[in-house]
Amino acid sequence: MIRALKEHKESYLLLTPYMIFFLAFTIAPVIICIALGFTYFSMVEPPRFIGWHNYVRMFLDDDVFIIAVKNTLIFAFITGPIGYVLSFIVAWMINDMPRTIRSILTTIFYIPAIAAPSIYPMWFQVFSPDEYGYVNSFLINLGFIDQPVAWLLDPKYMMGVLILIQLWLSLGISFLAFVAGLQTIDKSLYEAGVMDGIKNRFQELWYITLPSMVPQLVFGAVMQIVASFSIADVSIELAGFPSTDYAAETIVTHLRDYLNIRYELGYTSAISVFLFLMMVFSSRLTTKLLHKVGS
Amino acid sequence: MKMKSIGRRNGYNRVQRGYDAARGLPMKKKAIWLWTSALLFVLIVATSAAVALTFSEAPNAEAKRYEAENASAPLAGIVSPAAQIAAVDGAEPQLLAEAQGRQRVLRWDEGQTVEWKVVVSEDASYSLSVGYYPLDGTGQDIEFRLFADGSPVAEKDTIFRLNRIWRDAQADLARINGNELRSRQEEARVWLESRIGSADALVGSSLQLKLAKGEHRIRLENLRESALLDYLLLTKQEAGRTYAEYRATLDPQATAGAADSEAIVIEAERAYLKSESGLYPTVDRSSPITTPYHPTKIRINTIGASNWNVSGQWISWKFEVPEDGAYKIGMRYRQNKLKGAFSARKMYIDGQVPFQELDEVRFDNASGWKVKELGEETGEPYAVYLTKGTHELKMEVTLGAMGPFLQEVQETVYQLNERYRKIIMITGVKPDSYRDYELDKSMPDLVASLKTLRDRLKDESDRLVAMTGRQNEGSRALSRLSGQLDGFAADPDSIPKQLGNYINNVTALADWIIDARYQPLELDKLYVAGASVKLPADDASLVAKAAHEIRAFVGSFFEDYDSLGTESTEAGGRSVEVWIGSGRDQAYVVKRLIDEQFTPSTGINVEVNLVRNALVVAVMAGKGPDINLFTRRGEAMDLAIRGALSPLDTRESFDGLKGQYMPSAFEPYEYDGHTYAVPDEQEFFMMYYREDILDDLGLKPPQTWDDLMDIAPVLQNSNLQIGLPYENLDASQLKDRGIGTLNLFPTLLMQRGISLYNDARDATRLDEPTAADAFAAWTNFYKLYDYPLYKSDYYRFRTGQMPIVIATYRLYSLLSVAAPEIAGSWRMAQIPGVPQPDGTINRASAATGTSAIMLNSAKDKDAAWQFMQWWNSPEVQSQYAQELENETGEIGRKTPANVEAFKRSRWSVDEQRMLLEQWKEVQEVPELPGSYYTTRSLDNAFRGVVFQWRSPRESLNKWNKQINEEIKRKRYEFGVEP
Repeated sequence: MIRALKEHKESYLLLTPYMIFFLAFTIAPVIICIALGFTYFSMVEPPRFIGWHNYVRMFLDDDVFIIAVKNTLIFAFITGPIGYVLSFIVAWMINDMPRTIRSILTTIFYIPAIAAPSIYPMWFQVFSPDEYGYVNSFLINLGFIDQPVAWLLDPKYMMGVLILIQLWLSLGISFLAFVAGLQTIDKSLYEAGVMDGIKNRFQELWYITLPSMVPQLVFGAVMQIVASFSIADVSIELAGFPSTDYAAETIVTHLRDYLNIRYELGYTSAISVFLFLMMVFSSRLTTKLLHKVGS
Repeated sequence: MKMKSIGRRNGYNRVQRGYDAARGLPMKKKAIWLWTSALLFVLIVATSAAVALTFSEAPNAEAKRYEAENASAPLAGIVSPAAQIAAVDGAEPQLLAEAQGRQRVLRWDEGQTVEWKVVVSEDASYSLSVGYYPLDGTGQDIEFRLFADGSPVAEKDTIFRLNRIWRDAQADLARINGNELRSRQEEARVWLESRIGSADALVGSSLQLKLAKGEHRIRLENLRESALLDYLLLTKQEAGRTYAEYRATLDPQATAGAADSEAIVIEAERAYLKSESGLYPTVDRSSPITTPYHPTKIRINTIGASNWNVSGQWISWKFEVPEDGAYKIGMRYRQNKLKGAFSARKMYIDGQVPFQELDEVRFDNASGWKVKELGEETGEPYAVYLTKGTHELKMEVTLGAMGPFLQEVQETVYQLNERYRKIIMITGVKPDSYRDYELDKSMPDLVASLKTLRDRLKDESDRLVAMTGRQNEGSRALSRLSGQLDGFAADPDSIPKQLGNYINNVTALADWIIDARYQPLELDKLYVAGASVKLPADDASLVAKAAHEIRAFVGSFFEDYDSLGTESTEAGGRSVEVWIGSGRDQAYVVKRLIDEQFTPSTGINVEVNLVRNALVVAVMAGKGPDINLFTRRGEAMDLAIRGALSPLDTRESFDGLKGQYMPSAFEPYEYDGHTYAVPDEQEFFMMYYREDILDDLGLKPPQTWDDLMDIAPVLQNSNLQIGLPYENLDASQLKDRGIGTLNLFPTLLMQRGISLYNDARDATRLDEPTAADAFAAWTNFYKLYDYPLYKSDYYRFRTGQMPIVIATYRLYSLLSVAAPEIAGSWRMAQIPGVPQPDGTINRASAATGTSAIMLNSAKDKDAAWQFMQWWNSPEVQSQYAQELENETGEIGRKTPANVEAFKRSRWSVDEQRMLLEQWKEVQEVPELPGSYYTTRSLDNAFRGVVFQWRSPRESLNKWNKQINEEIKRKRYEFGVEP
């Protein structure tokens, strides 16, 4: 062990700066968070150990939390896979374009992901509850509705609208990973594939393209899962915080409620531990599935 | 498939070749490139450094400071001295034998009525001036009503003003971190003579009074502030002489002198006197020849940049003329705000306009600094004869020919809006485009009136172009509307489809009027020079400008522009750390007040920081301030319940301070028997209504909610709406603001005599039948009567679509500044209430606001409390409100919660009376642990009823249970309850 360390000491030396930050700002908080999950902590007084109480309260005494889990899962199962597949298809489609056009298109598709915070007000205009809101105005003009609909305030429509907007936002980091991944595939493989009897682009995709970019696919999937489990901004910005009847509450918005509004850090930690476990579990599952690609 | 794959291969090769070619650059050439660019880079850095380092500031020119002098005695007109005053408050006047250097004057106190006997020798139109001396007071102008022969001279509520005059308190400016601090403005204590301005600033600058030959009685009813009165002066409106006539009167011999004497340069920021304390000197950093100059530090070097723009405001300068002769007058100015139009000034020399060309001097729009000589457009600058000695030059904002024109356009806009309202009474604001409304049949006079308006607009557009010499925003808005009306008149069926577009065009025109009313002008220098002297160029040369930019850029690496200029604490000195949870403008004003008053008088240093949205977290982390100003009430409560605030009620003289506020004001900051904050603003609801529209429909402003319900169907029949307050905020904002003014529910609840929480403050009272009743009333507005939830009060009130609006008093400033076309046709009143058995009406209103808090962790609590007392005193609060208004304009008006301070604020006496009436009825909602949950749960209950048609009672009960559970949980958490 020690000899192995000595043997690669340069590598460890190079690794040290990153490891220090990683330990201090990623691993340590996770551990502290798990520990705080078993306490009552309001920032002013020191934490007080209360055992499993936070978890008991989470599952048995917090109706809103159950809504939040439900909504998070809906977001994860709808926007996650659709967004993922969409990212790939778009990346694949623009891959064959000339370089300049590809760069331009990549930028255009990626813009929603970076510009999102500044674009929420625009969506708010579109789905405004006022009769002057774009969607309302459009539907009233066509005679579909005669009263403005409060798209983002009425629990009936809220989730639908949010899912739609989240999908628009979903060409994010995984999309970039795919665009890059498609570029790295050795072109000669395709020629070999033609020789070996590949008949169409879909066979090419399944037998050559996808297996060659499993690392990017895994990376994309993990990012997508993390992103869809931690959806919060779209809900906060558009449906309000809290949303009507908590109908668009997600785990992260629930967490922020307890953190920023009520300053109950112990309970917040417990929620985030739960979220963490959910993410780890589904990432493992997806990774396993992705390794089956092409076989 | 195969072809494609080959194609791709080719592409691949091409890329490969290109890559090789790029690498194939000969090494030598590459090295040359490398060295050249490195050299260039070094050169640029070196020159920049050299340019930056070679800067040395030119010493400020010594400028003479002139003491303020009494206004000179009137030369012409009918003078009625104080001795001719017939009565004061109906009794015999008691003249003072001598006061402030003048004999036989009258002391005119607040509330006193003075009646003057005036004898006029001929029928004419007279303007009225008063010779007066403003006495110490709150620093506000003297307000009065004016009657001639018993009847008001303007509309009955019009208030006239006699202004105080101001000047810089210090000639040498203090500096912090090398940046100059603006001088405080102090009142100049001299005898003044002011012409009474007209009621409507657009008409002209002075009031015209038509009087027949004979004796008249002129009555002045003082509403605010006191003054000494010396005389009343009536001057006949006379056509002034032209420049040619003026020129002809001059002796050619006398004017010959001084032709090539050196130009006298007056730094405009060193003004002699000014008509308002808001006309303070300003800063320009865009040009290197604006003096005094420094590329990175703040130098006070111009005047008028931000707020010398309202008709009637004036600034004057004094200068020394070396010998008798004819001089030309010039100025270096910037007018880049009024696009495509001019800004006008009236020029007085030694109190007189020498010839009528100077009645309206136009400063054309240009992007940068310009030098202008008066009269240069005639080919030869005007020669003004000046004797040797001191002279005074005064420039007054005037709208000139633009005034009457704007008034006319304003009238047109009013009519256009009226048309709009008449049309939406038939079609609604969102007309059904598949329906034929036959507007021309239901409104027979429609087409004719549209045609009249069209011609009027066309004519106005042409006149504006003729006046300004070019197309501008206003003329385009006018002709666009004219074209649209032409289309409407030709095809009335197209009106409903284009209604939205039409009202947008009208609003654009109305907005242009608002801009055009303001006549901004920034001055750097004034020149008085002999006719043959050449004045300096407009701006610096390109090289000088480049050097300026480089210095500013290099300086930006070393200059902390965000620093509020904190002075280092002296060792051993007492100090207080103050955080400000508000904007930068506010922070600067607070800092200035502290530096001017608090620190010099107490010796306590104050460190001011601008910190927003981090207070609670910072305090919890032990990094909080000693004092936080403008704390939102949710934050104050968060800290108070966690024991982080220091109770104030135990401090000496707290009760005295509390007495200066409304009894309700402290309630949200009370917890567990102690008071933890001093409120600095209390914002509550008022009702606004359009008198003209209600009159048209034969309606009276509602006094009770039942009245409102009676009116509602009539308005609805005409497709008009009523605007009730409803705000949708996120959880942290909800918590910060408290529930008071988010919606109408707390107000309705309190008007029914119960408050939100019980007396023990451990549960809500929402389970009582009265609460259910209030809740049903609230939801019915939206469910049964379809009042809009989301709307812009300002916009819809202005167009008339929403003639009744309930909103906080802030809307008043906005409407009075930014909706001039409806001025006079709307009123502010108390909100509707609930009739009581004894016949009175309970008009309680909930409120919101911010406060000043003192942290428990403050090291020097006595110093902190001293600061709190100073800050919340009426003098400082009113001064803060005034100075802030100078910075942000009337729209940013702050209304102090301290009632004493409020009485000294810029709100006029009438406005104060109205606000106070409502203010007395204000009730606050207490804040308690877990109360953030009330706001959101009530909103959920509300939406459940309005969107999902749940029963109000059920919905309220469901969420009420949750509120009480949360309150109980939080009380347990904080150990208030076992």
